[in-house]
Amino acid sequence: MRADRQQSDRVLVADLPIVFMSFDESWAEAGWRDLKAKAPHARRVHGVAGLDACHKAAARIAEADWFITVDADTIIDPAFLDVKVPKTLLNKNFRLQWHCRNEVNGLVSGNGSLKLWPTALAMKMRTHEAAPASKVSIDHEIDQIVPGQSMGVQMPGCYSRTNPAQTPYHAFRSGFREGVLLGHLLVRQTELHGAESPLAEFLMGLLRIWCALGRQAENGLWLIYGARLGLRLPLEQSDWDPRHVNSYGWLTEFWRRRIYPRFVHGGARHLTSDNAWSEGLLEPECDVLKDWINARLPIALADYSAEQSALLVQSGAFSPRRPGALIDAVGYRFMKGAGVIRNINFAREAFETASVLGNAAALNNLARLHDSEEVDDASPKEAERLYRAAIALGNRYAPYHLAQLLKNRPSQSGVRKSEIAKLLDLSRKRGFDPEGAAVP
Amino acid sequence: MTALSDFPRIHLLAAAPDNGARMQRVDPQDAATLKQIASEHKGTWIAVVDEGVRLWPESMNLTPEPALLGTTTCIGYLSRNEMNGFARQSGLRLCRRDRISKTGKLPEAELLVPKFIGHWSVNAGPEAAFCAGVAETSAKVAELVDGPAARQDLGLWASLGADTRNGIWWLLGVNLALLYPDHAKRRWAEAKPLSDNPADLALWLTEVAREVRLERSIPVRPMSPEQSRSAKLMLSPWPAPHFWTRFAEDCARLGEDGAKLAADYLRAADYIWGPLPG
Repeated sequence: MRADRQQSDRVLVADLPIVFMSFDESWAEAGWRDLKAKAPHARRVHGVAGLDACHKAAARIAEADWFITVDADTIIDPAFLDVKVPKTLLNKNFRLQWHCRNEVNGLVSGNGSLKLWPTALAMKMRTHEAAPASKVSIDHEIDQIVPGQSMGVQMPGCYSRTNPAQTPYHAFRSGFREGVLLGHLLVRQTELHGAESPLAEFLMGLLRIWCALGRQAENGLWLIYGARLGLRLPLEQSDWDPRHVNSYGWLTEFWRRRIYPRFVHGGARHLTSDNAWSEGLLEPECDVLKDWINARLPIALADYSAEQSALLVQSGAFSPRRPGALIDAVGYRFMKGAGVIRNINFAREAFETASVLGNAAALNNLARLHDSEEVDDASPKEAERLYRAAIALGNRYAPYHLAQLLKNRPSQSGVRKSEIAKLLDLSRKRGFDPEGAAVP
Repeated sequence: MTALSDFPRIHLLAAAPDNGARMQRVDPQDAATLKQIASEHKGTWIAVVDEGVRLWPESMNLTPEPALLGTTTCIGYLSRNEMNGFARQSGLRLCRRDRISKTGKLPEAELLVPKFIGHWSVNAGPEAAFCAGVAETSAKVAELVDGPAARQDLGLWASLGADTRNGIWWLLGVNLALLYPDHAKRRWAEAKPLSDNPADLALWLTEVAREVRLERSIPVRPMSPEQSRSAKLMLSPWPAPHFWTRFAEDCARLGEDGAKLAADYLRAADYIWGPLPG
């Protein structure tokens, strides 16, 4: 490692261990060669069953405090190696991730993303097949590894692309797993906050793409079918165990016995070939699933021809949809010093970034920094402006905090008292009432 | 004064109806009325809603940054073309009252904030939708540098819209403008009789789109109302990368506060679009 790199407040990605993780992907050798050509120091984990075990194997082989994982169907952009990660974020509780672009459906999301793990956190997690039997774990759920401290941190930029549809089976598996995961999360969100909550709408936005686009790609229809079926199962059958998707053995059997034969003329007699399936048999099943989903979710799912799908996928008009909330969450950790060393400047920058993206909580948090004089240029006037901006965008805490700010001002005219009362009333209406019954 | 909803508002003629109590309808060429309105208000800024724009109530809760309001610059916010979901440079302008008062004219936006504030559409009738399709497409083609990316962009532009009111007329206007850049508007005379025959209209659109693909190498694939509605929901909620780059460049010229705001916007854009050129 060069001396100038060590002295910087940032760490170059190229200086971090990179681990390629493959299991049964027939194209894995090509992906591995591509990664080695770009990052000669990359190491590889192959054939480890179970996603928890696979990541632990990657942590061990990295032989370092941090390591980056690359999935077998992900190709990195060489520019990723030039990314400089702020040391402030190299925290034992933070798992960092960079979005990935899905070449089949154009989605830019966490699926297939590059991830930077603290080794100790990866070794501590118990997810997927390693989760307690009583728990449904089909994602890494970073925030639950060390509750209140660990978290997934979204990083800016997209430095990879993934093509998970390189065989019919892998396309189906990828779509199915994502459909189950997103459907499972959607059910949970809808139960907690209703179908119109921002997170439920975000999940439906992802599903709208997974369940509709990709027909232009080889095996893309299998990806769509898998996503639709994966969405339907947890919604339709409450006793169906979504943890099945953690087992590639189960998924392979499911594919061989229940899925693939239905779409092959002549059934099981022709199962030796990946190319024996019939689009004419698969299409009607996709239609049935689309109608089923549209009848139950406000997702406005549509079918597209291969040409229309290509037009949308190649438009470059898709982007991550809710980075503001994720950036604000990181800022909040640094403001509170929860699981990290408190860093007000870092928190402020995160809030300012999230504010640009219209995040009301970030505006409120920025106002708090001014209000509590935690920034060098703290100003009550700026705090008031930011509180008002947060209130306008619907933040639930800002009315109460602005009321306190106004209360603490020396002169209390009738107009001001009336405004304070209105703010406290608004705060109660938005569900934040720390003074409870004491407030008239 | 904080949010956009707090500013006195002028709606230019042909702007979509709005129940805002503080709005007035004005002909943008009517200097005397503009001066009179400017003299009637007391604040520094007046919000001008461009023709054909229907504001989203939630966007009026946006609060312009002090770095912008500390200048004499005319600040623009984008609208979204309701037909195809693309960004449109007109939307809402914050104009200094003293500039309107002095000149009786509305300044053009000198700085475009990369945020959408409403929908733009001119599609009340078939002819309006057709002509809007022709005009908007001509303007868009003039903006683009020909190449594969521009053709891809135009392909999507010309495929979406069937889910909107008179959307098929819009699509016909758009596709004819791509096929006959110099005289598409004159084709209205041929199109008009088809208003009683939607099936023939759809067939003509299919045929024109095919010719656009073959003769202009633009991969247009007109989508059904169901497809168009769903596709527009997939598009990014934020304007395309070049709007962020341009805003940051313009904003950086507004002094120290402007440069700081430009940096905030570029960091935010990194999360949406990845590192922007420059």
